[in-house]
Amino acid sequence: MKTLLRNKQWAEKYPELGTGPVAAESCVSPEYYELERERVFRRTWINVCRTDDLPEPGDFFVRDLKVCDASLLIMRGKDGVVRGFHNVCSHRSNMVVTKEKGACGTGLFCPFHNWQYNDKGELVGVPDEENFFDLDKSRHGLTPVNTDVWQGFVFVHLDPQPDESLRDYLGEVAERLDGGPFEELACLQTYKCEERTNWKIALDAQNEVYHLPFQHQRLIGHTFLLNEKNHTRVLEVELYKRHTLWSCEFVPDFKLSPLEELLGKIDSGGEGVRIPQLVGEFDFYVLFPNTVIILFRGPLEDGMVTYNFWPLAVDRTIWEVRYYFPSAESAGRRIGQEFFKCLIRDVQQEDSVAHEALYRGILSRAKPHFQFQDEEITIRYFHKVLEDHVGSFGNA
Amino acid sequence: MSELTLPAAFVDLEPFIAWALERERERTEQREASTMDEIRIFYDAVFPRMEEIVAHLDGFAFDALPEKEHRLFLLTLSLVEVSNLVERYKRREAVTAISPLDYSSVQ
Repeated sequence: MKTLLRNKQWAEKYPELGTGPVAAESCVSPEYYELERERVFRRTWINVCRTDDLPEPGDFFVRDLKVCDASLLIMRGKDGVVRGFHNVCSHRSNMVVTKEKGACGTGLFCPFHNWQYNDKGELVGVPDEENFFDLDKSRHGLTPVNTDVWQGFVFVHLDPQPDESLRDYLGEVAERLDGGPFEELACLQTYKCEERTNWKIALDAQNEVYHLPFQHQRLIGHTFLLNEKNHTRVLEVELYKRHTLWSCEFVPDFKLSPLEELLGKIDSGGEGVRIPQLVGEFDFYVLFPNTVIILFRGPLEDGMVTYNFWPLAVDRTIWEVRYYFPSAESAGRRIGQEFFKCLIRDVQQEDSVAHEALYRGILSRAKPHFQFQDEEITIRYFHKVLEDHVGSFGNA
Repeated sequence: MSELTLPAAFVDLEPFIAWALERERERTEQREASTMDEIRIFYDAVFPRMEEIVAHLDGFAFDALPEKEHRLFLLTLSLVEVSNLVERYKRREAVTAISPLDYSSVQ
């Protein structure tokens, strides 16, 4: 065990952050939400998918980015390059692609008048072209969106001239995770849950383990390391330029459920993929604003979970969760993956209740502030970073 | 007699074949549509056979399981599906979550 169990260690590490109450109004204010749309989501790199969503040349993936009123078409050209476009026809702005995933094949055809685009987004066909006026097809391809890829994560930036590269945006997170075995992890399952909550409330509720012994007492109450009073203590906290990391260790004598214990005994597959970049045994990175990368240690192999919190409105959010494991080569290993996935899935169904209840509570304005303890420092920091982008509430 | 759908060594699990469902969503629906007693009977029948089942399945290439073995494998995924309910919550009233049917799974 490497974790120090003492109190208030993170405020000591980051004394400039302060320890006072934090205003809650930004989580329920429609005006603040409008500012977030302009000052955060349109001005930063946003993770929209992984390259696995478009594995083959010609494959595409569509991300409906409602918070920016944008439908984005991410496409792998036949040259292998991943490019992003607005999914909007040059003719009269119809949506070109109407499904989430597919292959470009002989071209993408706008369903309205059959305008045709190729795998690089170039306009290559216009029915009745001779009847248009000075239409130069070479100037009317799909509108490109700045798109870049890091470790298989595809990001877009809606500002035509981003003020930083993806690499600079990722900063210390990329330095920590570069070289990880991401290409050996495949998406086993995606979940989406639409919640009556603000996107930050859902994210904040995930961004600490203080609640585990209480809200999740039956499922995973005693999973992460606890002090002598049975309160969680994380191993490490790092606050980066905008992103954060906390990392936990598991309770050494964690009581396994009967099935979990059995599965540990009967998986004959031997040691699988390991993630040497793990700081502890459960590393939780928040990539500002709305993406989480979780890397975790399993008994025989490591894995990854990602979250994207997609704002639909100030009070509506889609929580998208994806589980990634090394491709299973035996039934025993695959059943073990299913076990982990279903356990955390059931935990997340408890979380969804909290996300909605929190929203209702904050909306009542009974409590204008959040009180954060030391273990919740990454939430405190998230709100500071947000305020740096949007402005503080009241003088935004 | 109707044709058996599971490998010969596991024909005693034939009464639970309704749990051999391909998609997670279907397994969740089956869990939600079953009474706690039905779930426990299923769990109690399959759990003690798990070691034997996995040993049997691991005798085949996982990406090319024969049809009967594939159904047997799906039964084990349903065992996983109900295990938190049986082992950790123990009764439905203890579940403090949203309806799992509001939680959309995309495979």
